[in-house]
Amino acid sequence: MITADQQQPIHDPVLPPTGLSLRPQSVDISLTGRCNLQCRYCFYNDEMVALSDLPTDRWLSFFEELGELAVQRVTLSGGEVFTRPDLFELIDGVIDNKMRYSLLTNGTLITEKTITAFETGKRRLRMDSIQVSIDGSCAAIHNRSRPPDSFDRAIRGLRLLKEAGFPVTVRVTVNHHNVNDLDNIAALLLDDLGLPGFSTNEAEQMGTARCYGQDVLLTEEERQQAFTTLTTLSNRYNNRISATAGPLAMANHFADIEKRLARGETQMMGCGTLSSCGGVLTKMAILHDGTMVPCNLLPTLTMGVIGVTPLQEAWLYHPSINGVRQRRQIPLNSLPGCRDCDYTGFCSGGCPASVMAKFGKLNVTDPTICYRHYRQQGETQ
Amino acid sequence: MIQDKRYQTNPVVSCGNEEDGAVLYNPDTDNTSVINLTGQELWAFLKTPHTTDEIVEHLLQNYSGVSGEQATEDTKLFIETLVPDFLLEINDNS
Repeated sequence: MITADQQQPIHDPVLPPTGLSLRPQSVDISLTGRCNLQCRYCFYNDEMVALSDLPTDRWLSFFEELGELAVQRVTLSGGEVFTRPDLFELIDGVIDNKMRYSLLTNGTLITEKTITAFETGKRRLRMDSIQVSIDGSCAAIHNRSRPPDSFDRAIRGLRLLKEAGFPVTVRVTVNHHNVNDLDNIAALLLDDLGLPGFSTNEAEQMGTARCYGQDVLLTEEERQQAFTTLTTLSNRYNNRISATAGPLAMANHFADIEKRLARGETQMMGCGTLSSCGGVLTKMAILHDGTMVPCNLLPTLTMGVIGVTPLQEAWLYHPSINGVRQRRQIPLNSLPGCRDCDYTGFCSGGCPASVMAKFGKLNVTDPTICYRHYRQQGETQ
Repeated sequence: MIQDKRYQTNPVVSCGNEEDGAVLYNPDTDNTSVINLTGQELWAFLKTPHTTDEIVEHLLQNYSGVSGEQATEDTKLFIETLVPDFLLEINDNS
């Protein structure tokens, strides 16, 4: 039986929150489900298998819709974006419609010819960044989550981009295979290749990682190890290693909590409710078959299809995205497991996609980012 | 002569209308500027090139109770804010 104090507030999921912009500032677009690799932690694998790519003209019409709405930027990913033979035509469609763009790639298909192709028109001028995934300091480690040859080809692509002066970034997905290699990865990327920085996250229980399980996902001990190692590396390299999710983000957040506790503070701005993630207030995503979703990590929360449902209507009124936005109204201390927690004022509940993947529902907290749990573990060690 | 220059919107700039104004965005420079409802009106007017005198006149015609001095000040501020950020440009054919 649910008692009155256990009831969660009910919000109308159809109404957009007050002050929401009439359009997303940016849109994440998976242009293709094709990929030349089969990474062992690919979050997008289920959709890659199940859905079909849209033809060029459908995307170009969609970019016109984005331009008319005054969307400012898009992030183009896949699958692997460079498997699309019409990629540069699509990039030009983005440019023609007054937007900037970023690319997410495994880097293995980037050649001198690719670099030259970016020199046409405003393709370089309008590029915010091109992110290459690197998961090891050497082939033996990087290729444990990817097919053979991946490492050499990714590093070649990365070097080509760096030497040509592209705004190249690197994402390291911390997983079971590279957790002992993080020092070497940092040395490769920051010392040897001379990148200004790189970002990290963590392999999540989505897509292919569901099949490979603990062969690729971090154990709790490994997460703790990554937490410590990345904190040390981040200090050593003057904060050139960043994270918005995963062990380093958690380490930074917990360090911030401890500073605030030492100052006698009991809460942090924006915390105390299921306020993570704020992404749905400024962006949304499109799967490669044209399905609109709040985030490409939440592929089951469909909001219509491009060219059929007006994007602005979906952005403002679809219950799927407003349901994620309105998590922010749910106090953490109304949730089972958090009611008696002293630290809810410092917590935002964790990534909605992560809890959706773990528990099949949105309005719960992610235990892997729990500060109380972290403290309790420290006390028992 | 500043008064003789003709100003117009930079064609690469997008204008995202909101309920209380608009957000101008130049994707070439990544510059953004927020304008109010009057700015939004001027933005629409400057789809074709106009001098400062014409802009002032347009304001006076569309907003009753605005003094010539105020309209001139507002026009000057609008131009001085948006031209350096490449949101508004000077029409070279003037």
